[in-house]
Amino acid sequence: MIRRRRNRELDDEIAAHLRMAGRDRVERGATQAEAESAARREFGNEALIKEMARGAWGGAWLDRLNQDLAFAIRVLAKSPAFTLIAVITLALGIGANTAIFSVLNGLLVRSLPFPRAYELVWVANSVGSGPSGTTSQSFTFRDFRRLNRSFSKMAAYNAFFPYVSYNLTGKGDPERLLGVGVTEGFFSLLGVQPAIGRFFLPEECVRGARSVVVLTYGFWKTKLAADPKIAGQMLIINGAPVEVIGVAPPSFDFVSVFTPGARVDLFTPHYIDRESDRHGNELAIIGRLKPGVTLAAAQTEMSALADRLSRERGYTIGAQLQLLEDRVTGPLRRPLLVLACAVGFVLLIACANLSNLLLARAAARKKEIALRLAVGASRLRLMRQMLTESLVLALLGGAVALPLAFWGTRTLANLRRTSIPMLGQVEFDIQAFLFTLVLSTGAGLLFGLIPAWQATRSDLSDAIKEGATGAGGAIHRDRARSALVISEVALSLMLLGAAGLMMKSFLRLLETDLGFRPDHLVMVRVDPGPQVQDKTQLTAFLDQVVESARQVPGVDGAALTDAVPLDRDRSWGTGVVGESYPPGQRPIAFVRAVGPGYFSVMRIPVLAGRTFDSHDRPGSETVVVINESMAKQLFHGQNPLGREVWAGGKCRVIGVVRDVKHSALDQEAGLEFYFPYSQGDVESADLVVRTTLEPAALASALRRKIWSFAPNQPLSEFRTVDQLVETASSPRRFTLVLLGIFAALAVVLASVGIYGVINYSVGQRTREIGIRMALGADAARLEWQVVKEALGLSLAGSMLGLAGLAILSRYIASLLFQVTPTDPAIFTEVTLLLIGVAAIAGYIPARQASRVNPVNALRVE
Amino acid sequence: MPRKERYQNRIELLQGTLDMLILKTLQWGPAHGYAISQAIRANSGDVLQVETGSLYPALHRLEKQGWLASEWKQSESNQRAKYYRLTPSGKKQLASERARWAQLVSAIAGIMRPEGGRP
Repeated sequence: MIRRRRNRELDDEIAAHLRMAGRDRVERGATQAEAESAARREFGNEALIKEMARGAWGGAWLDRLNQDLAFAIRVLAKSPAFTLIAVITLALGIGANTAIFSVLNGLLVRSLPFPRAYELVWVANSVGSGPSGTTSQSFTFRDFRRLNRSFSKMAAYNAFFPYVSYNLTGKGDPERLLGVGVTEGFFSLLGVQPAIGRFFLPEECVRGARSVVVLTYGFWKTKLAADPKIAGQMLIINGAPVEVIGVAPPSFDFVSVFTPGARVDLFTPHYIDRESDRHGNELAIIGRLKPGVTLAAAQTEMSALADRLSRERGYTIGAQLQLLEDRVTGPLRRPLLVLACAVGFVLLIACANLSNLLLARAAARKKEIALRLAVGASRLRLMRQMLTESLVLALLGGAVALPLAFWGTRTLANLRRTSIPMLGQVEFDIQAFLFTLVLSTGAGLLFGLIPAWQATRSDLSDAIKEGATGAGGAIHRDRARSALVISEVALSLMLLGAAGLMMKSFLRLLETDLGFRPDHLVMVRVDPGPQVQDKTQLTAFLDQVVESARQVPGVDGAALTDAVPLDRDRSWGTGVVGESYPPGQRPIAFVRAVGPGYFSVMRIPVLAGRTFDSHDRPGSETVVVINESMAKQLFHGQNPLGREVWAGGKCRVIGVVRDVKHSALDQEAGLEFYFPYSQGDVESADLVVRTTLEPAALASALRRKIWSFAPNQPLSEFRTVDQLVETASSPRRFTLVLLGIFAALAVVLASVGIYGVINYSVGQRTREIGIRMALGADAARLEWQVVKEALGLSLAGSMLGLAGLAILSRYIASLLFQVTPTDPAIFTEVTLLLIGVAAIAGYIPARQASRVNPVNALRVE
Repeated sequence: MPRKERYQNRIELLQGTLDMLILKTLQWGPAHGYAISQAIRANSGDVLQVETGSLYPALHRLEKQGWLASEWKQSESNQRAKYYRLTPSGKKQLASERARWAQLVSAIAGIMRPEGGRP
């Protein structure tokens, strides 16, 4: 307010001066007009003097900033197309970067959600592969815990928890819950505090103690409506009352750390005693290092301890230590870093585009700037004004990016059926946002500086004249702009190439022969719980379930298995009866208990012999079906049919089937055998149904039938096997989809860049083109000349990009599947694609140019 | 030719002396910017010509320093103009500048004495 009054006063003061000077001249005999212009001439540059007088007031910088801001906004508003493109470009760059860096920060930089997470160590058995190979036996755990000197605490959980039955009744429909057995001290080792109630007491971790459970936060909230008085209440689990003693905090997400993509509802005590000593490998062991003990020192001690125990027991025990953090996030590191690089490229391209736009504008405004310099604007002031413009652009971009980044991060965090650890805990990261904002603002300032500097440095009279005689001459090709476009194309090609390689890998992955047909398969866990007393009853119950399923209209077949491929895994030692294997060389095979009809329902081809039928019952000869790999490795080309192998006990081989993928799409099958569930130790099983029905339709039909004879049978979670495949390929898809989005973004930005440059150079040559048109030039030839320019730029960029891609692809080689990092088809395809896009981006201005009306063109300016 | 001559007859103001001249001019009483520039020119026998580009910034600077105060008044020719006058601290400033000027003049005169050089 005060400033405005002062400004007015200054205007008045100077007006008064001019009036008085003029009047003096009139008195001395000049005419009114002469006097006025003479007084004005004598006075000098009015605007400049006012500016200098204002400079004496102090606080001028604020004034100027205000002016610059207002000016910048006015200028930007005057060219909405430019502003829109620049802001969108920046917003996409900043938004994508923030989302990816939020994920990166959440997964890689930030540690696990436990106090002093760097002390937590994963102790794997490391004998053989698969979950059975990395888990340990009960007494190994007991010995480790008792004898080690490196750890302040050691605890474990049952890695095979999905096989254990927790059938909840009395709360709506019966439901099969997933509960993890944890040993005493598991929560205190991790440093987790209960949200409600308490965790297990030592006396509750002994067999025969009162049954107690701790609920996960998610289960308590969704299933029990977040009942605040839950502690002390009873739940009916497996037909018996169990006391709820506490609820784990929301920050403790067991699943996302230890078994991403799965679900857990509750925790129970896992007893370590003589009974559990008879189980196989089942415990996942976690230790907390004593302060000051390094991982290497602990590894040395534990290796020695494992060797000693191996000698004492006569079979191999391993202890492979790994920081829990590395175990959880290690496999993610490379894909995430690749994504970070990709998104960084996008930001680079966005910045290049922005500076390209600014350069073009600066060139277009050369005349304006020269004029302003000529009338006395200070160079510094002009540069500051142009910088303010870039700054305003960058901030606008940031403002638009903010909701974009927020939404992007949320979308990533809420991806379902994705086995990426801790993804659900990822939050919008304000630091990542500010970081990218500062980065892009810096880039904006830097790139704003170059044109500002260029523009203010140019020769005034030349610049003013140039506009007037634009046709005279030389086509002004801006090297800086071409270089920017070339690097944009190069970066885009690298991104596109990387995305192409990943895409091809992914397609190869989906094409891989799973060994079974996953489509049209619906599965549901069947768990008879305590209502069956012995194996005969169990078999009868399961047979009845399968029979009911087969009677549902629309069902093409149904069978049982205790472990659907890609869903669960366990492995046992095996071998040919009568052969001896050196210690540590005993073959290990994946194990599935299946029912009659399993192979035909899954469409697993039978290669030799027969599969199970109703004659394979408890008490009849124990039989197994083995897979191709096992037949090859154990029998070396001899006929395995009729031979005996170790499969729990001695079993006769009755059939050989094709391999199936058991745990991941990109891993080989390994040895595998099947036994009839009627002859094995099975508590619960998955009913697999081949049907054209939707899961929901099958669910209601099946529930009606099964609940008629087993009313407490939980049949809650109907899944499709296709979903399992989706989950199994999810980390790869996650990387691929994001990379694809970034590559598409890069191509769009690069083509905008090419369009901008060509359009600008065409605009510069409007007069030239007009003249040539007037002289009868061929439109097609003109178009071709313009397109050629675009092609030249994209070709140069592509060559650079191909070289970059060759380097980059070596880095992502480990992420590829059955695709070489220098796949010539991909390299060719992305190059052609980019050149094609460039041709189109160049053709649009070319067409406009060839439609120029010569008369109008010559009249320009 | 007369243009060039005019310039040759003028002397560039020494750095910092404009402030003193303005203060001195205002000792005779309040005046507006145009009058100040005319007064300096007349009193210097047309030798010193104050550029408006220096005058107005200087006036505003001196006002900010508190050595000048201003008010809008009707001029003798019935024009509204901004009149500057010396404040008490401006008077003190004039005295100290005058002393400094005298010092400077005698110092320069000492150096420039015609029979100068070593005794």
